Amino acid sequence: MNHEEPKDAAEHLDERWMDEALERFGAAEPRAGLETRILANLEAHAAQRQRRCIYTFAGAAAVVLFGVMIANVLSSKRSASMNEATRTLPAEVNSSSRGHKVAVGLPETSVHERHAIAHKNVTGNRMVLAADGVKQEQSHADKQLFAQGQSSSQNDLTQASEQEPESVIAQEHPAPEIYVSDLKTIQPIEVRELAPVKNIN
Amino acid sequence: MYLPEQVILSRTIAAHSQAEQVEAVVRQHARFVYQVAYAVLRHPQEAEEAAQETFIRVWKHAKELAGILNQRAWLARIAWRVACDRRRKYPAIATNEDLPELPAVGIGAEESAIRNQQLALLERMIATLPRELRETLTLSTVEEMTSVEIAEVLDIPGSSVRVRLLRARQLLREKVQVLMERKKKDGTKRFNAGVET
Repeated sequence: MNHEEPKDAAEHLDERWMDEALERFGAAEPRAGLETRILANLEAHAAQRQRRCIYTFAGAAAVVLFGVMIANVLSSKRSASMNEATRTLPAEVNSSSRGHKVAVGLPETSVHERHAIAHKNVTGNRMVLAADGVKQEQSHADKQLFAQGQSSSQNDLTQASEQEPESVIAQEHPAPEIYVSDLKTIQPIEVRELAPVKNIN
Repeated sequence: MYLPEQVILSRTIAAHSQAEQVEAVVRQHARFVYQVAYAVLRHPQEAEEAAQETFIRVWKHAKELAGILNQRAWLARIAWRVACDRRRKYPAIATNEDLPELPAVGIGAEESAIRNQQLALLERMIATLPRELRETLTLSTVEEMTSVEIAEVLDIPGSSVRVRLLRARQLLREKVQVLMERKKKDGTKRFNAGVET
């Protein structure tokens, strides 16, 4: 018993020391005004968040506005280019005839070829358009020659229509006005059959 | 026009009531949250910042406040996590030992020095405990923290908390005894050395 008593006392002392030490270990007092500081921090945080929300909303609105503006500019540019393309490209205008041609199963030809054929059929091989400044008087022989040429051109036309269905299509679907007007600006030239050059010597 | 105004008004009232609720929670539990953070971080400044962060998280989840039954345990859990995150992020946080401490009012310099030594010793001994025991013991030192609350914070059953606390205290006691025996031996050695000389 005497041996156990001091041991218990030592244990009790250890326990008490440990309790006190643990109590002191956990007892931490914050600086005065902790609640006030925390509340002020929360208010500042809330205000900052609100400000961030406003900036985000404004930024998003600006981005949307910018996007709409860009889309508007792009669409207007595209429509302008489309208008220009419809004005300058006869192939697109003539697409219906082309489609018809493809449906029929005829060989496709280029625009220039088609217009060349059409021009050929209207004027004939030897037909010559009178230019603005060309003289009105023509010789009788020339008139005869012209009549012959016309008849031959008619013959050629019938032959061509039999041989080349392209010419028929070109006649049925003439080139658009705009394109023709471009052609009109080219001054037609007078082609005459020149008399064989005599040997001067 | 009437309905949106009513909605706005109800939302404003709700926000106002939420703010009031958060304020009430801050006034009631700020010290407790600070102590939980301090138990982990062992640094006054860091503990205060952890408390601030804890209440910011509470403010973000203010809608849930009304539905929480045990607010203390909920707050302790948040504060515990925040403090653990902070300690992981900044492992080189200076402890109280590195800071110069002002003498406590009403305590003599000698006593204050002894207390500081005791605390430093205890901190070192707690640091050598296994992690599970250390966490439980640290939380148990926080003022008025019950084993149920500790169980909620650590997400373990209450009986496990009690077992861990017992084991932790037993280990600490053993360490203290070993330390005292060593001190006694050192004292006799010194005494013998003094006699011989």
